[in-house]
Amino acid sequence: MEYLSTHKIAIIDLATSKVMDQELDEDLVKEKIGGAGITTALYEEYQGEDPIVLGTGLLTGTLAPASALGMITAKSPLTGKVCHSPLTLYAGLELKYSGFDYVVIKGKSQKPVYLWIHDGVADVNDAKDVWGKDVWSSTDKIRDLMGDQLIQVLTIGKAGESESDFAQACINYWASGDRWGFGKLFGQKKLKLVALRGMSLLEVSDAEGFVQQCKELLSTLKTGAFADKKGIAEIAVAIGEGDISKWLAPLVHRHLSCFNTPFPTNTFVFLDEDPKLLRETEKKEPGFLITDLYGLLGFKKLGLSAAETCTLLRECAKYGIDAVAVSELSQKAGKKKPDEIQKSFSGLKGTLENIGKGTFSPWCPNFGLSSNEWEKKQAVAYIFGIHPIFALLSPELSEEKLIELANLGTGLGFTSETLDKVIADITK
Amino acid sequence: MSHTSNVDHLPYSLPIGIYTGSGASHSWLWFVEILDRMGFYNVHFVDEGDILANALDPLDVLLMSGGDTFAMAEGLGAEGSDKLRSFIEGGGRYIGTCAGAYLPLRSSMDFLNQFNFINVKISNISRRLSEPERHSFQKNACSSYGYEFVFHVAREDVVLELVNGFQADGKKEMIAPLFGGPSMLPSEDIEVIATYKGFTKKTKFLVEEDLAAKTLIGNIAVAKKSMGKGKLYIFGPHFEHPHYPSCNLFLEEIICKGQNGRFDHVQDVFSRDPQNLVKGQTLRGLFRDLKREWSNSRIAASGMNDFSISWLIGNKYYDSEKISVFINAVWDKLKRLEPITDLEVDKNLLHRCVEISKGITKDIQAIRSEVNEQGNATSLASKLFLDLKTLSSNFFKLYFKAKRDRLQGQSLEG
Repeated sequence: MEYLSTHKIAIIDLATSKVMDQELDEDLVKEKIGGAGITTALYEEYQGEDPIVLGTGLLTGTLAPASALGMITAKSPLTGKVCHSPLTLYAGLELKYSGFDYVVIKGKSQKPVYLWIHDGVADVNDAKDVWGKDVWSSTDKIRDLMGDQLIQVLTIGKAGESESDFAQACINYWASGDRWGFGKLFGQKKLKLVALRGMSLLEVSDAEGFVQQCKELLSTLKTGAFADKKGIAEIAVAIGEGDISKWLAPLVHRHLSCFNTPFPTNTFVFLDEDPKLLRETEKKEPGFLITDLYGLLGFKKLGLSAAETCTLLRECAKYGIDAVAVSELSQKAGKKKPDEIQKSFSGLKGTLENIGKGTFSPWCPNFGLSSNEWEKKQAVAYIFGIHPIFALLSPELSEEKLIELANLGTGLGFTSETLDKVIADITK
Repeated sequence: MSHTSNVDHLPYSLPIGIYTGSGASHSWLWFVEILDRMGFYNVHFVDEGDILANALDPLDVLLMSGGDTFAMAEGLGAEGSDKLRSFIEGGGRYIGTCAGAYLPLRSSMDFLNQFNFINVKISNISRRLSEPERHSFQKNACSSYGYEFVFHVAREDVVLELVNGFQADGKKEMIAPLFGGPSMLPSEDIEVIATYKGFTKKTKFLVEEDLAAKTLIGNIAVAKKSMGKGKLYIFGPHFEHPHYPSCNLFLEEIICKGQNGRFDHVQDVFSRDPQNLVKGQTLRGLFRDLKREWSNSRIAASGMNDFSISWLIGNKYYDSEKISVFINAVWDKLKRLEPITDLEVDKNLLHRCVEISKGITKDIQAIRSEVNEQGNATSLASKLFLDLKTLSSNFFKLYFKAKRDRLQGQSLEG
């Protein structure tokens, strides 16, 4: 695969610590396009070894607007189905440039390990220095060890290590869209974390045409419905959960986009520092990045203040547990005090009602779409590597436009029929 | 002078040395890049120890790039100076840019006074400044020179005028990059090739433009001198900078000019031990080891890019970003060798590269820790740059050897 690709798939066997490089076959790309199309195919190929597949969309990490998305594809311990969880922030980008478009992690390790994927090299390393640490300490440790703060870390905390059903594979310090208990899979495999960094380059088939098309799309998006909006509170309004901006406002410090995404879907709140502070804070980490609306709403609905909610979200992220599951099970158990809720992380059990029914993570709201329509639009986003929330907010990023970009980028001549077939395959 | 076609004759066989010893900073990597692009593959890397051990004897050309002239002179010493003189007088071509151009100029300073090959004075020395002008220089724009200092007035693009019938691409003007090289005053001891003519929008002035003009304009940028059967070429600007193709072509012609008839033979001037070659799966494993470590170094170095610090090592400031310059130069060549399936390379050399690379990653991490704790990392940085130079020159030895072997194989097959 010559274009928009680093050409390689890493097949990592945790049982033996062996890593095999495999060429990314252009025929596979022609047939499955990329992203969830290919992670699903790889999952099926290695399904006997209970794989976790990491992957990027065809356009991930390019100038295509909102091309931030990578994904984890695996069988959910919660639903028993093969599902996809979004890798947002800069994780998809770093995976794309790490030298591997896809990473298949199969087998189980006897001892805790972590994966260090960098510049076309995948290393299985002893995790003795990070096993037992929370999500934040693990990320700090690995970044310090490798000497670069740009390293993206998919890591579990104590929830994953203890194989909790609600364990998340977090991204750096923050909650991810993992609603499938993939953190438990990491723990079962004794896989503490996957660290990603790469400085490779992508070739583009028609570079000028591709850049021009990206610029035009971006111009159009700047006049779209979300052009002048920012932050997670806007998403709450858009899905009919009401205006939470006043409730959250006293804590808000800034809003943050995922890679190359025109709408900042994340909001950073200060908890240990005045959010109006203009100079650099002296605290190592004064707050928390809210990346998951439903976690926020879940604790709010328990009657907690914004500060209590965000503090709990921070503790969930450090522990590596899904805040949505925690809030739902807390409500069922009648727990409404933050310390009481935090104490329940360890050994949390129960059956969730608000659980994903399809293939794609319910972390992304449906914005009033029917279940089928939402699933189809998510499939498109996960195939091309477009931020799932932004994809739904921006009708301008149509299937036709994305196919056009993919063809300019690769010269492979994808058609809407190809895309329909891949969508059908991954949503069946 | 214009670009001619004589370089079409197997230029890879012309034996060329690049000096990487004491005082050489990072700009010799530019020579590596342009020689590779031009197809010169009989390239060898020599330090002061090699020079004393007669490593210049089989060479036609010696390239001395930028760095710390004092450290070069001290490292080579009187014996090294004699070797250089013999090399040139015996028919070799010495091509010096920047520090490599200062080295052979007349000087009364210790160590430098052993290299008085060219009787020429420079205009960028503080004794030519008024008292207020002497105080207008910042520390990184000058180098101590006894009671005086050598100063630099502008960086990056300068306009040169080619004189005495010399031309570049049929033109009498060219743009070249200046990074601290000399501006020389007229002397009967040299033949002038180019003078400083002016500036461009990309010129970065380190002092007032008037003082820059007073120091440079009309003075000599490039010159040559015959010594015995050979020649010295001295360049104030870095003609080897890979972003300046006209300068590179100009250099190419000088490198090829007057070659000693070795074009007709693929001649490997250094010994080869067939027992020490590695290939196939073992080679791929070693490449993988080197790539792993080198990537770790690359990532750790990129993590320092925001630090914006420099260390005074000898008489020269080394910026932290120069670490990545070494690493990326090797990385680029490593990526080019990696896909070649029938490659054979020197096992010991490759093992050595892997071992040094492990230390380099640790050195970078140690520097980072030291800097984070507000400590002084100069001695660590000094060791790091030495290791980077050693690894790079070893790897490029291996790289050019592999290229020569492949071409030799093709030529034998042909």
